[in-house]
Formats: sequence, structure tokens, C-alpha cells
Amino acid sequence: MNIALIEHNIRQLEQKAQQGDGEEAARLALALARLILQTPSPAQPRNLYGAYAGVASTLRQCYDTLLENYSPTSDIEQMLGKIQEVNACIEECGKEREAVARANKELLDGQKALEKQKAELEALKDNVAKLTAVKEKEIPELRREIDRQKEKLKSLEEECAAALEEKERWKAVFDENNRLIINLPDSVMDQDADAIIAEAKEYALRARQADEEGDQWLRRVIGAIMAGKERMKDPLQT
Amino acid sequence: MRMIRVGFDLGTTYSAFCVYDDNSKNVDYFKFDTCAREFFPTIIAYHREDRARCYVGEAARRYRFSPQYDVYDTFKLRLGDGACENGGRIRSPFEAARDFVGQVLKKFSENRGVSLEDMILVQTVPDIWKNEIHNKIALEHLAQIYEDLGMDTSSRVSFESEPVSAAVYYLNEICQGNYHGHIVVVDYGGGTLDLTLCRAEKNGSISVLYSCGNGGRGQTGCAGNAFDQAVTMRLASRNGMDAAIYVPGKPAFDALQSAFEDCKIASTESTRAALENYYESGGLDDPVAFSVMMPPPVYEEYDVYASDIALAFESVNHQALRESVMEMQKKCGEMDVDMEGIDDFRVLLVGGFSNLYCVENCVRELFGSMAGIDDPRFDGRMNRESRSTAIAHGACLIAAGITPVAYINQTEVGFFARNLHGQEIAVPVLHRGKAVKEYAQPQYCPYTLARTFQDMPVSLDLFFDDGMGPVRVRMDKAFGSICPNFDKEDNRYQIGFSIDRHRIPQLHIRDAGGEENVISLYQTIARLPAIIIQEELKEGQP
Repeated sequence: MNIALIEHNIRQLEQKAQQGDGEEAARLALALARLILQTPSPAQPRNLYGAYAGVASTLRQCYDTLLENYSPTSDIEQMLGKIQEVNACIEECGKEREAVARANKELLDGQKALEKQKAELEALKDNVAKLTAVKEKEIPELRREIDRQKEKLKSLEEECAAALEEKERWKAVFDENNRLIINLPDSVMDQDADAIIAEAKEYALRARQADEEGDQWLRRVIGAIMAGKERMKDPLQT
Repeated sequence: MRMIRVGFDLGTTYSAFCVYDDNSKNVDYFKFDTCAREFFPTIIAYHREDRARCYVGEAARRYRFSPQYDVYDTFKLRLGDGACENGGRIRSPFEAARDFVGQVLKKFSENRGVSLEDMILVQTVPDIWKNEIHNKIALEHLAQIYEDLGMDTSSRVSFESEPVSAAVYYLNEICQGNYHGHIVVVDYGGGTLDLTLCRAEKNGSISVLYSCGNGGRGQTGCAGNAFDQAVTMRLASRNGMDAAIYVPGKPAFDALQSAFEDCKIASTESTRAALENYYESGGLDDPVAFSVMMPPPVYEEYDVYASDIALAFESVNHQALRESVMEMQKKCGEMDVDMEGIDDFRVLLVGGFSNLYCVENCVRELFGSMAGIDDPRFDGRMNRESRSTAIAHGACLIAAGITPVAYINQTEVGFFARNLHGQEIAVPVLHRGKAVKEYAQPQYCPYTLARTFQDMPVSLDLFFDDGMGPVRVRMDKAFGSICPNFDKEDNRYQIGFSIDRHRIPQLHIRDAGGEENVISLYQTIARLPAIIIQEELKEGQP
């Protein structure tokens, strides 16, 4: 046993406790207890470790209580009271040890249940592997479907391109119309649609009338020309 | 022109390269990859067709599984094989190592604008190499590599022990020169386990007293790489992977091992917490340490449990580590080193693999310590980062001449002779326990050998003893081939030994005319024909 090492750690422990670092002091106390007992770590029974942890935790509580209540002028009665408290703590520690032992048993049962679950998990993993194999078979079929979809996509793209072209043409037409509308005189833009339509109708009517008048005039002219022609055929008639 | 002083740790799996800044007196890590880490993978990748495309480090690691590239790693483990043994591959481990070292030096000299002639380089080597017959020649092969690269190994390059370099780092950078006492360095990396006992003297120097360990052999060794492989095998088998595909050496297995290694390095803390729970609960609590995420296109994720790590360590590493530490403790006991002294004894864990909780736990246990105890012998200031870079950093400090290192000879060397009664006796010339520098000049034996004995050409049986009993080197006809003027009928020879600046024992043969031939003892074993190496079972001393 390395006494120098143990003494060094006790000094460290005291220093930590004086600094109020109860947790670190308790951790060192636990490690020291294990070092002193020199139980090889891998072979150490769980319940023994649990007991150490319980003892160290109680020691820490006791130490903290003592530190809080410590005063250089305290009387013996007060100290006795504290000793009783410590004794109570030690009894509590005994109960805690029993509780730890019970908890360990439960843990062991839990461990067994866990093993069972692990076995079930393995079986599930096997199923997953089988499902994966089935999936792999479906892959070629999916590939073919993908290829078909790709073809379809290609023709859709072509259609889309044609439609875009058409759209461009129409856009040009609309743009021209827009341009024409924008270039209309303000007098037109100021009128409302009904007035424009009425004016257009009026204009159309007048145009039709003018057409008819023109037509009649043309007919008269043609008639005169035709009569002229006839007269030229027979000069004697003049 | 001012000399540039550099330290190079050529590790089995990772390497590091340091340069000493004369102005700031600081050590910089040379990072030639885009990654910002202080160390880089010891990997070289050659493009199969385009000779110009040759990568090292992280860049080479990217091409591990590419059929376009011929990729080499862990070549350090087989440096003892020499240039001719390529194990069926295009390049031998020697050639891969030479090209790797060459590329690193080239990148450094281009980056810093210095030429190789202006460099003083300290390359670290496993101390354990010299204790193992198949690895004894490895150091000479490494020296050959530097000669091939045009660096003068008689003045510009020196080889220092890896654990000793780590101790130099510890003394200078961690303790600021304020520690005097013994240090056991446990250097556990990707390929080798190297333990060295040294003493930090009050004058600031280091004496190297003893070393032992396991140098590994073949592709994996007994350290981090072997451990990674063992855990990967467990993962493959537990997850029902195809045993025909997931075999070490095959790409699928290597990819899984590589992914495991990456995740392991990135999860040191969670692994530590999981293993603490595992050991403290006596194996009842077996939490997941981390998950191995396979890269695309696999995308699988495999959980690594604390038990996977603990059991792999138990099966691959624990025995070798335990035996080596116990051997070191035995030697410390013989040398009256107080291993319990918390003021003048330190155990230094270095090398990437020493970051594994199991390694520290095992070593602490053997030295009567345990996790959670405040043990000054295991200095907490040697953190994870320091453990990985201490060796290159220390080598750089040695190159800068900051800490002188003195080695104690650990190999007894001599030859067998017959006394007047015809009995064979071992005549040691170089003794164990003496300072190596005392043997810089050859130590000649006063006896002389005639060229022939009873009309038969004379032969010579040498021996060396690393502490495990003498090993006989029978030279037979090969002896004549290394003797000067062996055709001269009445020639006589004197035998001597020395230790050169790289701590390699040299055999000197001087003839009656004063002409001398010098050959390394290990080269006589490795290169000359008709030499038999025999383990002497009985004690060699008369």
C-alpha cells in the first residue's frame, strides 16, 4: 500500500473540504476508500460500489452540517446534539445501504429484461434486413417506371416549348395593340366606351351610306360611259 | 546561413513535424495539410499511372480505397525488412517510408524556403527496436533513407528514442525544468509499445537507464492498430456482416476500420465516461461509447459498446502492456528506484493510444493507483493533445540542444573464444550499464586471431545480450569476407567493438598492418550469408 499516496490524497481531501468543495471531497473520499480496499475495478461487485457511494454521500452531508454549525465557542451540549445527528445519519446510511441492495436487485432484473429486449431487437433487425432484400428486387421495376416518366417529361417539355413560342407570338400581338392603344389621341382616351362605339357605329353608317352613294355615282358614271360607248358605235344616233 | 532545427516523429499511424523558432524560443508544428491538426496520417498514395501524383498525410488518406492509387500505411512496422522485401506489392515498406519522409521534407523545405543542407534534424525511433532481433536493422534502414534523400547522417541527422523525446518535452514544457527524479515513459502508439526508464538530472540532462516493450511485427503490431482491427472485427460479426467480405485487408473491412478509427479519436471523452461506468459496475452497465458512421454511399451507423472496447483491449493489448510494465517494475526494483515516491517518480503516458481509458487504467492499477485518485506520479498536465505531440516536440528541443541526453549501454557485446583447456568462454567487450559515449572509440581485445588454424580458415562467433541471455552470431566463411587482406597468408587480426552516434554497435577488424574494416553488428546479421543466429539457452558466462 502506497502510504505516501494515501496521505497525499487525505491532505487533498481536507483541503477541498476546507474550501467548501464538498462534492470533490466526497469524490476523493470514495476513490480513497476504493484504493485502500484495492478491489480490482472490473471485478468489483455493483452493490459494494453502491454502498461506497452511499457512505460517501452521507459523509458529505454530515460534513456539510458540521461545517455550518461549527463555532469555536460551542458547548459540549451542542456538540453532543450534533453527535446524535451524526448517529442518526449513520443509521440512515444503513437504511440507504439496504435500499441500494434492493435497487441493485431490481437493476439485475432490469438487466435480464433488457437482454430479452435486445434479442427481440436482433429479430427485428433480421426482419429489416429481409425487407431491404425485398426492396432491392423492386428497384429494377422502379427504374423502368422512372425511365417512362422521364420520356413523358421530355414530351411535356417539348409541348411546353411550343406553348411558350405561341405565347411569345401572342405577346408580340398584345404588345402591338398596347402600343396602338397608347398612341391613340387623348380625345379618344377621354371618351367613354359607349360614346366611342356609338361614334364608330355612326362612322360605319356614314361610311356605308358613302359607299352606297359612291356606288350609285359609279353606276351612273358607268352607265354614262356605257351610253357613250354605244353612241360611239353608232355615230348616227348623235 | 542559420541552421533550422526540426524534430520529426515518424509514427506508425500518425506523424508530427516540429520546427524550433530561434527568435521566440518556441516550437511550431508544421501543418502542411489544410487540416489544422498538429499531426498527420502516416500514409502515402501513389497514382498508378501518373508519377507526379503522389500524396502524403490527409491527402493520401482520401485515396485509401481508390483503385487508381497504390496506398501504403503502417510501413514503419516493417522497416526491418529492407528495400528488397515488398511482400508482393509494387513497393517495399522501405521504399514507401523513404518516399513518405522525402515528401514531408520537400513540403517543409518548400513551405519555409529552406534547403535540406540547412537543417539539423532529430528523427525519433522506438527504443524497443534495438531490443528485438527483427527490428535491430530498422534504424540502419532509416539512416539509409536519409542518405538516399541526400542528408548527411553523420552530422545533420540524429536518431533519438521516442520515449526519451517525450520525457524531454515533459521536463521542459510541462515542468519548466523543475523536476528531478525518475520517469517511466509508457509510449503506446499505433504500432509499438515502448517503455523507458530515465532519470532527470539536476544539471538539466536526461540519462536513459533501461527500456523494454513490444515492437510489433507485420501489419498490425500489438498497439492501437491491432486494437482498432479487433474492435472492427467485433462490429462486423455482431452486425451480421458478410464474413467473406469483412476480412482485414479487404476494402470493405478497411473502410469500416477507418471509420471506426475516426470516430474513436473524436469520441475520447464519451468513451472514457462509458468505460468508467462499465468498469465500476463490473460490466453490468454497458453503455454505448460512440457510434461509427459509415461514409456515403453506405450511410450505416453502428453502435460501439463499452464492452466492445474493453474486451478488444483485453484480448489484444492487455497482456503485452501488463508484461512490459511488470518487466519495467522488476528492473526499477533491481535499480532501487522508489516507485511509490510521489515527489521523485513519474509515469508518463504518451502516444495516441495511451488516451484510451483502458490503457491508463491498466498502468495505474499496476502502479497501485486508480482513476479518481489525485496521484502526482501521473501528472494530469499531460493532456490528450500533449500525449499525441510530445515526441515530435521533445525531438525538436533535442535538436535545438536544450536538453542533453546521455544513454546507458544496455547491450553486452563480445565474442566467444577457447581458453587453454579448450573450453569456450564468452569474452564481453562492451559492457551493460556503461555510458554509451565511453564506447565512441573502438575497444580492441588484446588477443589476436591467426588467418588460419590447423590449415582451416579461422572463423569467429560473436554474441550480443540485451539482458535476455546471449545470442550467438556464427560467422563461418563470412568472417573472411569482412577481414582486410584476408588473402595474405600470415595475416593476424584484432577484434574490437564500438557504438556509433546512432547507438548502433560496430564491429572493427584490424589486421597486422593496421588496416581496419568496420561493419555494423546488425548488418552482419541481416546482410552477410552463412550466419547463424542461435539463442543460447544456458548462461553464456564461463
